Amino acid sequence: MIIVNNITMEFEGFAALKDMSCTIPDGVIYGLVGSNGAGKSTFLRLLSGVYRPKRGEITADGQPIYDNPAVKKDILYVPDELYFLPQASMKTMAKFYAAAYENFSRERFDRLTQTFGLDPNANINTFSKGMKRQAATVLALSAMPKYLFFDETFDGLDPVMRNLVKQVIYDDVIERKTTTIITSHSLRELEDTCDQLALLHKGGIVFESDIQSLKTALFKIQVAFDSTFDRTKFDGIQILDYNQMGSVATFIARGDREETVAKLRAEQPIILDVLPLNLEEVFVYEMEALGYAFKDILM
Amino acid sequence: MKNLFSAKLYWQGLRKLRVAGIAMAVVIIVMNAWFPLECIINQSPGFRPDFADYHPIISIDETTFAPLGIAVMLFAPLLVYQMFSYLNERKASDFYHALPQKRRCVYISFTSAVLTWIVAVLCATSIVNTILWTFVPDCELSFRVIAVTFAGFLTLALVTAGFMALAMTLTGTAVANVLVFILFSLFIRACGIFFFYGFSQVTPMFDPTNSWLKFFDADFFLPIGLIVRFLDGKGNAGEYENTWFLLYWFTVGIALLAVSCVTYCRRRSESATKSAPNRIMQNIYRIGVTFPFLMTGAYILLAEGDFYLCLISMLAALLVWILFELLTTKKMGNVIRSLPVLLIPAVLTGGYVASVYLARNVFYASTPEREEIASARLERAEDTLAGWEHTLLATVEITEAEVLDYVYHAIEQTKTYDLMSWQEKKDSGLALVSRYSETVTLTLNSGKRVTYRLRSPYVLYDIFKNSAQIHEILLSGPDFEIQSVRMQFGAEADRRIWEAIKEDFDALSDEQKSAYLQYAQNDKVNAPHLTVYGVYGGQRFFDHFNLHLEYTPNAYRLYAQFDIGERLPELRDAADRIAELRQEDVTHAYMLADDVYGYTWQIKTENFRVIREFLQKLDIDSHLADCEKIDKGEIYRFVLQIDTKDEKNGIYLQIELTLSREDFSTYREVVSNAGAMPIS
Repeated sequence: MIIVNNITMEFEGFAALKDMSCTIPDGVIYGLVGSNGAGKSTFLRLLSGVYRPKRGEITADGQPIYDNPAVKKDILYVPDELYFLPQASMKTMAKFYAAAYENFSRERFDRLTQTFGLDPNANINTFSKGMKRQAATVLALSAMPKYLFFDETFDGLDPVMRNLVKQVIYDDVIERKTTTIITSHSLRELEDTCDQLALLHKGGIVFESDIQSLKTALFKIQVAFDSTFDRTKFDGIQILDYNQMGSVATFIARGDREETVAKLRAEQPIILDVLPLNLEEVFVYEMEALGYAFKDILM
Repeated sequence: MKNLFSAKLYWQGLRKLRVAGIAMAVVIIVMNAWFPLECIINQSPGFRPDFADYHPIISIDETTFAPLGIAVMLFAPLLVYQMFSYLNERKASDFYHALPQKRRCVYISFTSAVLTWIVAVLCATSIVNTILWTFVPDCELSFRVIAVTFAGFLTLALVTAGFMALAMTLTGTAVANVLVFILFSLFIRACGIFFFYGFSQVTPMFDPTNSWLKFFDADFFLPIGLIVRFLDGKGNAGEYENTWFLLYWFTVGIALLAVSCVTYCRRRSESATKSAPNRIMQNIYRIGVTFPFLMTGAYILLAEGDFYLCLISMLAALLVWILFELLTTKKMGNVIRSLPVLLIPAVLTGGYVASVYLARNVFYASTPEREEIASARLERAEDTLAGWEHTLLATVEITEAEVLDYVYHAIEQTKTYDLMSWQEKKDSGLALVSRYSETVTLTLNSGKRVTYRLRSPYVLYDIFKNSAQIHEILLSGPDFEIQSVRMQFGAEADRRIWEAIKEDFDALSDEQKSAYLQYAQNDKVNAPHLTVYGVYGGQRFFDHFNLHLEYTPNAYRLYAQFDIGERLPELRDAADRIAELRQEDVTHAYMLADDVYGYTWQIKTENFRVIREFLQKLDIDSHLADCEKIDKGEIYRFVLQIDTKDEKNGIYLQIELTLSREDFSTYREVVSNAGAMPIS
């Protein structure tokens, strides 16, 4: 489990992360969404031990990460800008990874290279951007890390390849209970991938939740009565957003869905519909509830 | 151990450097194979083909391997750069910093890979060179020299690699790496060198030989010292054989690598691509580029007393400061904000001047009293190959009270003169002291040695030379080991002449010996002489020994026989060819001759009969028959050139011939009749 406790990271006086805290349980795929400059890459570099936080503490399995090989051997970071040794082939890189990561699996490397159809003897410089991402993913997964961090990894991949990469990651999480953190500036990218989502804005997590409860915690109700009514009719229901046109009211509610529906049915509405929300809508309402304009954060 | 070194990373480091390492090996091995290969191809002692060596010696010293040293000095930082170049690229820096190893472990493993390549290349080069030298004729291979060279160049590599590693761990761009490398490797040393030369300028009596201050001398700067000595062709590696010197620089190299390890561990990955990762470094840059100008100004003031030139240097420093700031930050506001920092180099410069004068005062206040002096020895100049007499003087500790009194007197006089103001010196006149100085090493009763450059109204050299101790040694004859003789008549002939000189000398009375030694040391290069390289008291020397019909008759006769015998066939051939030439075939005849009095006689005529007549009158064969006719030391040299219509029949002859006084008179008569005039 990764525990981030009040970390601050500054660059020449500019705070990239400010008093940020979060807990990332084992075996989850943790999505970190935020606009450019929100601090996603900085956060991943801190988690990988590339940076040392100016203040605060980051631990993995209870141990600090920075300059701690005992923990770092279980961490693999696939950055946004990939690096390969000069003129290296996949095989050369595999040798380097094997030298650096004690759990590196040659068998897994061979298998994944084959799965992605990459030539292990070809110079990686000759690979396309997407192939380089695949190569980096293969190498990372072959190192058999316990913690796997992907920074904007799905960018540059075509839909087919994106699904393949995602599938490989899912398999790894299921098979080895790998804790995976994926950052993206696109919420849609993470919607169907992650177990848990956090929204990073101006160096801090403004919102964090697991996808399942996020999707079920909010729901849209459309209800109509044959008598005049106003919002007070729904006192007792936690409403995030309310609109009424004539006898039809539409609102976003938080709470237990069944209980809320039962409560509304008791008022004998002439129409009662419970509509699903997509993740983006959930985020919009949650952000607005927190006083943020969602479009300012992600759009 | 696991946290200090990773064998796998080390291996990866070796692999990463493989191309650069192999390239380095090839270049260095080829560069260094050049000397022995040249000797092998020539099949002769390659360095001094004009000399007959009596010992199988080709002087292999550390400077012989200087190309290796210079190459190592260039390649070591390049290998470090190649290894740690990832520190200049953000994504690469992140990649390496994310590795599951202690930063210290990464640094040590990679640095070990660099050092391994350096050691491997040095070993390979030493082995190849050793093998090649064994094929060189007349070469005595010295494993001590090879070992010292190896140790010296390894140290050199450590130091330059250390400076580069430090520069790379502190900065984040290639340009900044190189700049800081130069800054660090030269800046600190430059301060010391400035101090040393400033102090030497204001303290003319100071000689670094037995002073710890020589630490600041440029010669003590390992990288530059080697290059300077190699380019100067001084033929010795100076401090390379000084164990403490090597140990000092080895420690510096290790310390630099250790400090680099600390800076590597503390380095932030985001420093990549940034030339100055923080304000401290920016200030170090500013001071680094400005300080030399300030120091130069201060030095000019100390050495020359030239205030205006000093002021120009100071203004140049200010200009450099402003330009540097504008170029690096591109903001005028930063220039103004940075100006207060200029106080730091200004204060340092003031400190430099103050420390030089403080050291000078301490130096002059601590010269020994007469009763403290146990013995004195005259030093010979280190950077020139001295004559054997000077070499002899440099090996004898004189304890005679009279000599020591003179020396003490010279010390006091030199002090008085040195401490005078410019005006006082002018008023007192320069008669007080000679403008010539001699370097004297004193051994004090305490066992301590001090060396001074002394001015004296007396010629210290003569005082030492005329001491009873030296006189006794001189009269025992030139008792030294001859390494080689300048080839004049062949190795065997030259050796015979040298043996004859020694035998002739032994047969002389003490009075004659003194007279001969006086004559022998005269700089009379036109006289018959033997040029020798030898060793006395472990010091190499180079000297001419003049021959004299009275003092060294047997050697003189041998010389004349060899001289004429060698040139006779050539001269006869020329005379025969001239006899066959017809006047109408000659377009131009020219003869240039030097006589023993330093005059050059020139005959430039179309009437080559004058020359023919001279050659006919020259009774060449009689020289061989009667050596007694040969007068003392009268040699003349002439160049003869006769151009003919048919170029193939032209004659060019350059000849050096020992003539009898009679023949010389003939020559003068002929050339005078021809209307030749002496020219200086």
